[in-house]
Amino acid sequence: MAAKTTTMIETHDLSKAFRIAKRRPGLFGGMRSIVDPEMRTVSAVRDLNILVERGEMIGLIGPNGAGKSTTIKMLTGVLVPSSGKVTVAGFDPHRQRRALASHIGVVFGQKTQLWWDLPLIDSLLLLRHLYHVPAERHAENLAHMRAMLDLDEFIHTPVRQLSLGQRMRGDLAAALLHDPELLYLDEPTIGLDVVAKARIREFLLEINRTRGVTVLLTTHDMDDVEALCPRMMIVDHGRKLFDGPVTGIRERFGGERTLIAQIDPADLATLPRGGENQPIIEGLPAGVRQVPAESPQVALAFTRDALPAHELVAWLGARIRLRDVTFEEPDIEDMIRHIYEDGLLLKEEEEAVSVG
Amino acid sequence: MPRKTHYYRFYFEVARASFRRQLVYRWTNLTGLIVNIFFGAIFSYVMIALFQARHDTAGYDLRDTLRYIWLVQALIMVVVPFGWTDLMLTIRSGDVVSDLSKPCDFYWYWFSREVGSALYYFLFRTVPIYLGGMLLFGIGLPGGWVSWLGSGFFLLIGAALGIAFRFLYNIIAFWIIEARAMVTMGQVIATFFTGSYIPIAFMPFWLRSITLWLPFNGMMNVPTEIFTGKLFGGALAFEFLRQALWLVALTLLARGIAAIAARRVVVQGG
Repeated sequence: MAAKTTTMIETHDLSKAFRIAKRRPGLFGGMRSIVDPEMRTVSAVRDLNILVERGEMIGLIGPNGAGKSTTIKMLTGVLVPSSGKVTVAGFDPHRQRRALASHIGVVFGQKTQLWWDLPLIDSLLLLRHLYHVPAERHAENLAHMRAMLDLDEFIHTPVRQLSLGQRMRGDLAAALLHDPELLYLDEPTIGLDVVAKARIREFLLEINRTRGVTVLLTTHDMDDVEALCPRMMIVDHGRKLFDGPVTGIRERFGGERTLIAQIDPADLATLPRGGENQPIIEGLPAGVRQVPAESPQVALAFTRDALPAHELVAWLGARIRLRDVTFEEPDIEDMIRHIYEDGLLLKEEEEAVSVG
Repeated sequence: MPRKTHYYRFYFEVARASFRRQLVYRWTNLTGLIVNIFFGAIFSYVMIALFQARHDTAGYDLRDTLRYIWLVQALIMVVVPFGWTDLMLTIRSGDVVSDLSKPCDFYWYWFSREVGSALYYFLFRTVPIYLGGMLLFGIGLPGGWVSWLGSGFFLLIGAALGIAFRFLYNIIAFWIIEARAMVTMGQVIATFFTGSYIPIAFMPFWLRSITLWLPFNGMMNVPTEIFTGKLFGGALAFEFLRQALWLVALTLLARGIAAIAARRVVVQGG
């Protein structure tokens, strides 16, 4: 059926537009809208070209409403494209949805496919029959998952009593028991603490390395992408803004990082005060500016090329006594703004054309 | 398909999981049981008052009527469970999208779930409620094993009709955002026409003539009348034909609407 090629996902000018009925204002308008609805077309995804090789780990990032979920839905076949072509694991997702389903695993960070009231193990056993996995193969995979994800400590606990991190581990196991070649993850680390995040990331790297599972993940969290994916795509308003290596991505598009310093109370009193009684640091180096923060903190925004982070800490530490220092990385929204502002989008498109 | 052999196994396992899921709610079941017994007692006292004035109503004496009332109370959760919005809630939350993309049939998946919980309700509601009636009102057990067997067979049809019906009034949520109103309406209609308030035999002639032709008649009235010995012999063949046709029709309708809903999701998004 599906020819074994090196390509896992291929889309060509993939687009999706939704037609949404617009209600007219007022009582009569409302009544007229029932008989003669005014339709508005919203494009969720526009001319998206994606090429993912087998064994890749790729991050799809973008703000809310960028078209990430719509794209994933078209790739799994639960949504039919308005136009364009899409092939996943050699299948046409929409027309061969059932056949494709046994080749892919899907995990949504905010949803679960586990039976809420039953012990985790029950859901994991039931999945064998859904995907018709041979008993020995299933037992082998289950043993593997139990070891890798440490499921044993809670496998007999009803799912509703699990912590979010435990439930996510359960959902990951559930998505992988039928040996899918491709795993879609939608916000897999959302709401998890640092330890749980690290554990999930480690596991994903492991299955990608040992089982060759191709992983496509959508996320808000740049840390996920930097920890997992050599390559990433940024989408916004249904269009691809960037497709390329993750290394150095923050340096290129990252905008400003922010240093947040807790100032020693004794030194805080000596600082001059500005508007809204904010302490002011005077004589900042070039490329560094002070941004509003809550006292006793001081926040300094700086670009990568202004000076290295440790030099800024040293500079500040030489002037006032610091209690603690943290850094805030620019978020996705900042990066996208930066891409637009600097017209970086156009350059990338030219590159894509010359490569393609 | 090379693995055709265990194709049905999944549905069997879903029913089993659904049965075990119900076992978790012991206290919910106990309170529900008390409510059913309470209603059984109220209806019983109303009927006892009625039968003080007369000794025969539509061929039913007091004992027949009490048996009918208690069996109907005992079967409600098996056939037309109150407040069933499970499917509707998955449509609202969008979880239905992942159910639709599973490599199994959407209708038979839900059907299997409901079969599992129907079996649970049969064991943990029907049996104790009827026993409650026997203890409180001395209604005893009618007929013999032949009528029990016949009643059991028709109860299978009745339960399947009930599943198709509740699937239908839930799946409307794909088109109507506030589908709770439809659920309430579906339940009121079913409660009335299944004979949960008054036995169908007690209805005025014109209303009874209509009701006997509805699928609701097959849900509880037919199994109950066979159990109480009011329906037997050649009439059973006719009832079978009538209700089997309804079952095929409702099942096809439910699957047809599910297919339309799936297509809508696929084009319009969740």
